[in-house]
Amino acid sequence: MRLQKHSDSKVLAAAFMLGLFVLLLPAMSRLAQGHPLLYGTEAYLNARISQQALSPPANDFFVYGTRPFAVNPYHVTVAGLSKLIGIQPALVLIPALLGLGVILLFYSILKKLGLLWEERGWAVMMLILSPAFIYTFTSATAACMSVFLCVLGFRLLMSRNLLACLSAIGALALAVPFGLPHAVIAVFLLLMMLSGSIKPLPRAAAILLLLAAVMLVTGAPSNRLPVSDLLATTLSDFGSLNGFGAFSWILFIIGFFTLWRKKEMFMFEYAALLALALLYFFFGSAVNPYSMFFVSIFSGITITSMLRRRWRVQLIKNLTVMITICGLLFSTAAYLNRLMVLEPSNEAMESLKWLQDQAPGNVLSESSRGFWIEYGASMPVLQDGLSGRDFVQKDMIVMFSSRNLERTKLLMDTYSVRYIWIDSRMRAGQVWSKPDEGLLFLFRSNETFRKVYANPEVQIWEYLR
Amino acid sequence: MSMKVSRTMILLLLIFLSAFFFRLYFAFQARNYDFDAYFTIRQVENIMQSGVPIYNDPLSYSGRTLFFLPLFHYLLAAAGSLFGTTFAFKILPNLIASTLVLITFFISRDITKNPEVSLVAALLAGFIPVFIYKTLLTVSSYSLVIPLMAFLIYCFMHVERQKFVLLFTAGILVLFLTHPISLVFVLGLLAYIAFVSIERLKHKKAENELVLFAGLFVAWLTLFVYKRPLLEYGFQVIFQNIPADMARGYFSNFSIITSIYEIGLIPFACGIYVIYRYVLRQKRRRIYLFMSLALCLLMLLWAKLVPLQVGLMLLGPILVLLTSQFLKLGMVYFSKTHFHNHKRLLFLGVILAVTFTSLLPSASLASKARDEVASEELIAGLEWLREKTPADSVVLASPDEGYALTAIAHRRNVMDENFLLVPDASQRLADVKTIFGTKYETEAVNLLNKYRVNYILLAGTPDWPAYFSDARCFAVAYRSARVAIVQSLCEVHQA
Repeated sequence: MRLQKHSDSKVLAAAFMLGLFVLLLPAMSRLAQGHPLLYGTEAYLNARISQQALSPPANDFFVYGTRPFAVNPYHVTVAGLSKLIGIQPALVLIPALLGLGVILLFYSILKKLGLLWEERGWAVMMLILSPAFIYTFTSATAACMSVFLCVLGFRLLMSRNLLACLSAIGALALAVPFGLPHAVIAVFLLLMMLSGSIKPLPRAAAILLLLAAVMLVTGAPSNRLPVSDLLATTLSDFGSLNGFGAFSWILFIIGFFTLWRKKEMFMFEYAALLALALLYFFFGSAVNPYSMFFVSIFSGITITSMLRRRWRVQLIKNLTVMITICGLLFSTAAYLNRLMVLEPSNEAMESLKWLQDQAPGNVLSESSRGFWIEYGASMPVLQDGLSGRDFVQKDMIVMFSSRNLERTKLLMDTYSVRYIWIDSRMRAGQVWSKPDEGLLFLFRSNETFRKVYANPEVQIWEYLR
Repeated sequence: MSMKVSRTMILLLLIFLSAFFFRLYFAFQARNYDFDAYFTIRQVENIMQSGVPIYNDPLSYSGRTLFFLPLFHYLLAAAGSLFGTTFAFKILPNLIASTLVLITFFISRDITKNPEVSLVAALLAGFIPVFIYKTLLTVSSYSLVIPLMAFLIYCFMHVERQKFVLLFTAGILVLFLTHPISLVFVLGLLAYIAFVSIERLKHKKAENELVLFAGLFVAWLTLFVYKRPLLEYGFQVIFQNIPADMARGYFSNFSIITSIYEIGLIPFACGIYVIYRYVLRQKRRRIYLFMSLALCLLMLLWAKLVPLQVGLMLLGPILVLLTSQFLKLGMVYFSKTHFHNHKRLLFLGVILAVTFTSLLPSASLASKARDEVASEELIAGLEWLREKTPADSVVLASPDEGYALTAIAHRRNVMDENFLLVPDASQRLADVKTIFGTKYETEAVNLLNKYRVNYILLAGTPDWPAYFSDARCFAVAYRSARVAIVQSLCEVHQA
């Protein structure tokens, strides 16, 4: 017992240090290289909403046509801490702290599930090195809090006392406002633990059927992704931001098949994987922050078996273990390297800072830039990553691609466009593949468009009505 | 016994030398090489001069990064430094390819325990038509890859012995550093493990461990070496960013007639029969190893995930090994018939069949490979470009001439047949086709300006575009019977 406690504390200490390093490295590196602290797009949406989270307006006017101003507990927490340290540092610190909390809770859950200390240690290491974990707890997305709440709720439910159960229900209930995928997973966890007398697999299947029926009836979207997209959304080496390393996948698959012989001992894990596989077809990679726990468990058990097993040839064992560890570390290092240089660039944010000082007006740009423009320039956009108005999207495509000046002017007047924000990626194929295509050709009309800002990355054009 | 053994070895040596000299006979009938060979030739020559291959290539596509595995190039460079480039480019690749004869013999002897059957298998292995066609004058790394894969199979079969474990480990490293097709080999081994499980045979610990090691090792090196292409293309990296128009030719439909001709009727038919027999009727562990590899390749070919001729080249030796099992079964059956005293006649029949179904198609495809090499006139034209044009000139040629252009003329090309990480490969191909096919001079000149083309290489093209006759914009700088080089003089300015 003393030996186990001693091992537990060592493993936890190592995990804590590694977790701290991995979770803070992207932000520190970006800062050191002069890149904006936050990366991705959703971080900027959360930054903007957190600015007003403590006294939120009814509607969000930063997008054409408005929408309800949606605040969740994450924004409130960030808003609170930002009073002390500012919005952007709060958006770095809170996910990191939640990530460290998840590490501790995950270790505790593994202990409750009966895994050996070596298996626990490796599983926690696999979790920390997993791109899905790193992305969830460094990208300032709201998923970090919902994952934390679900893990906390699940751990509390395992305690099986009344106070813990009530606290668990509270925690899981708090996860619901974060969106449909998180709500479904919270409900699934609750029902799984509360119906403990039934065997895990049939229990999971019954709950899933019920949830799937509810989602289909209420019109939840389904993905039906082809295989190539499945790889692109789940493998970080193939480009996914919140996926898994190839080596994690390989170890997971080996563990999945080799432990099938002892499936009675891992019934809950298999049941949860079944649930997550089904949910993937509704919610796609939004499920990855939950899958990462099970991928880590199976891959951690696989590594432990590899180390403990008596190999026929010691050389092969040493080489295999070395390659596995190198592969995991390489995958994580390559992923961290990507995060350090991920958009937005410094030039993009500087251009938005400049735009913030100009006369207000709607900004036309590619919808994935919407959150940056809303936060950086405090100006409304036609479309951002949340708005799903098809007619606006179609009109934007026309505005970008048409060479008919009158038609473009008519649409720009309709949407009260004042500025057009263009970066190099848009010009390099994302929107236009030729230098004189569509709107780029129309920019020659000096009476209609005027270039008001340019840096190596970004051009801002003003539409002269 | 030793007399019989030495007679077998002498016959084996004869078969090996026949295969080798057969290759050399056709190889030395051509002075030049296949167009694809010039990529390797250029890399080898660079290694011989500077010690490193060219990864940042200023000439290909007028400047780009190359992704390839260099071990074969280093091997040829070492040979070239010692024995000259003719040895390195013509003799050594064909010598290495011919070692497939020896390896096939030893594998076959292990399976069948029958030297005569093994000699027939060795003979078949020496004359796989598609393997000869793709390695005769192409200076291709497949010359090393195919025999190496056979060698790894042999090591895998003897995995209980430490020596072969070490050889397998070293071999898989060499294989991966030679060509990424090692992934297919590892997939085949994984399929074998799965087969053993499905058939409820007892797993050999050593086999499982080696397969695990090989799989992880190849996965790690692939992720390390091809990190950028994987990030850029994901799973589609298999298709190497080849433009759709050309991809149809690379990843053609799997056709039985083509397969029979390019692999040989006997290996194809006998190999398929053995697969059928051991899937449905009998269990035999060693046969499952070859079957797994064969089925894996057939599936990849059917799914068009492997170029057709590459897949057939890999499939051929596997089917030859399965054929040895068929021949052994045939011998056993024959010995129970009334004709069991006429074994020599049977062998004669088999040799005749091999001659007609493997040797003759091999000769036919070897002749085809010889005829498809770069012509003397083209080489002369490229040498003229090197001597008479400025070093930074850009030359437009057809994509298949791109490697020869950079290797011999040392000039920039507009495109060649390496499309990986080229951002606008499809657009370039379309533009090149337009330049050669359009009736409109302005359109052509616009595109020539876009790629900053100074010269256009016309090789073997019977009909020039009509606008080349406009002397204000085009001047014939070089002319021979079948090659012309036209200088582009004009620029289009926007009003």
